[in-house]
Amino acid sequence: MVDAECISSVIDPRPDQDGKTTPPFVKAVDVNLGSGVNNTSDYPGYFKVAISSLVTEFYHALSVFGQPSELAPFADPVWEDSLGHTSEGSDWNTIQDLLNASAGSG
Amino acid sequence: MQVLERNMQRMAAENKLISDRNMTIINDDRAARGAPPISQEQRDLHPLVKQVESSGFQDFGFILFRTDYSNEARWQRFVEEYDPLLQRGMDNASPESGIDRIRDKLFIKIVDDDVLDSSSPADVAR
Repeated sequence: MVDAECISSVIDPRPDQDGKTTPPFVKAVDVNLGSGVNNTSDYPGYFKVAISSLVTEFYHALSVFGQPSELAPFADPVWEDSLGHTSEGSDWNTIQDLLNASAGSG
Repeated sequence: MQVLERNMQRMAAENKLISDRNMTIINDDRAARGAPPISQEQRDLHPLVKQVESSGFQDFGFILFRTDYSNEARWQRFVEEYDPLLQRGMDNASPESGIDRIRDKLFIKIVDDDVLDSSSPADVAR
């Protein structure tokens, strides 16, 4: 879903008290939220997902983990990948770069 | 810093050698049972590409429900600015990842209906 907080994250980005800018996000809503399944005090049934991670990370992670509730713990406060890393410095690209560098040097 | 980078490159090269050795063993096993070998290209594919192509989906993506209707100008800015953000993750992928093969299949449906104004996540889930 896209509520006022999501809109603001995109068009009004501002750094937090640590100087880090929260990545623009939308909110992933668990379809089981209305039925009460999987809801606990620690899992409200929805969480923030970085827009830049929606396709390349989140979509596949949902199929791997099966339930959004399994991904929610990695939203700190915005889900960027299932390891808690940022998408711009993802392990996937870093490993590829290292392999390419080692291949080039022989 | 240079020492760290050299060590990381060395570790990556060692891991690649181990991976290549293991892949040779796997492909020998596949050949013994008549299965085609796994190519380097297949190994480099992004997991999402493998998922979408193996599933045979014509398209994939998400449905976005707009729940704030208080300011149309802000909403229009969101619509303009969110797509480049969405594409950024795919732009950052290496050519070998195969992401470009599935970009045309990406489908993000935005539900823009003011009956959803101020809806809660529970309302959206229903």
